[in-house]
Amino acid sequence: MAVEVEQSARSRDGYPGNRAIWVGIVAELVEFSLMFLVYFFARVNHPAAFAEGPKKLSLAAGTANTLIMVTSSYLVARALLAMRAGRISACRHWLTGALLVGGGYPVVKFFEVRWNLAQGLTGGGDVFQMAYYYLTFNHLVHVSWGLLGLIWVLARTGFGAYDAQNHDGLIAFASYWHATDLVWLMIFPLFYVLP
Amino acid sequence: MKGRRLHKVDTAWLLLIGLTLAGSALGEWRHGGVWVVLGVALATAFKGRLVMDAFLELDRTAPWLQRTVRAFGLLVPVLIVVTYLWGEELARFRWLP
Repeated sequence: MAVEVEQSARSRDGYPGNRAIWVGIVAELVEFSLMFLVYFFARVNHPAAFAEGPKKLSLAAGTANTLIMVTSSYLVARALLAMRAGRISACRHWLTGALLVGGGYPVVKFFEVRWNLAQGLTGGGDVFQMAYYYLTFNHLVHVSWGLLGLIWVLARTGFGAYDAQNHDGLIAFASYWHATDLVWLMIFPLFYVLP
Repeated sequence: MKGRRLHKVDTAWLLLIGLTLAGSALGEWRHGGVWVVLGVALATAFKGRLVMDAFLELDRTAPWLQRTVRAFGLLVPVLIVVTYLWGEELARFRWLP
């Protein structure tokens, strides 16, 4: 039965995918939590810099990367549903879509940074700019790891390494990718939206 | 013709897209005020919750993991509101050069 197939052994022990990926996810969340505390500490001490900061950034680039992250995350969720249903080919297609969409993130980031530098926004600027570069570059590093992981699980799916009953590697990657999406959803309002 | 029902991941994705575009419109508007800040905080918390429930499937994880990830999803929204309402008071505790 489909529901029984969904409940892999790893899911039953409370660590979908594998324990190692959840160590990584918790470490990622702790790391960004500390950076958020630093952000708010700086924000209350330099309200003028943080009130003016978002006006200098490209809202279009921030929005594009948010749409990219949530869509790529969605496509990975769809891939996992297809794998659970035993539709391996459909899973491969969803993962390919996730890679194509997710690959847009570093591309948008490249053009955003180029635009920033043309506007004189550098890492050596005010406290808002420093916080912006530190947090978003850290997130870019996590996205880059995720994209490498996505290529890996796509290849493994293509070579038939997973099936409806055994796909812990795919679950582990999906969990990491969704956590990285979650982190971006917290970053986005802090730099692009909050007045 | 029988209509195809949306799966919860489809609904979550559509909501995430809609809330993101609404947030960007708010960012473009660039007006402050308590309701705008509250709106941003609530939308951020809700978007986080959608990702946790529909994509990350947090209900399948160990209880301590659920608590940890949910606390993370609340950290930023809560701090947005707290620092907006009591930012000046908080700044008095510590001064950053």
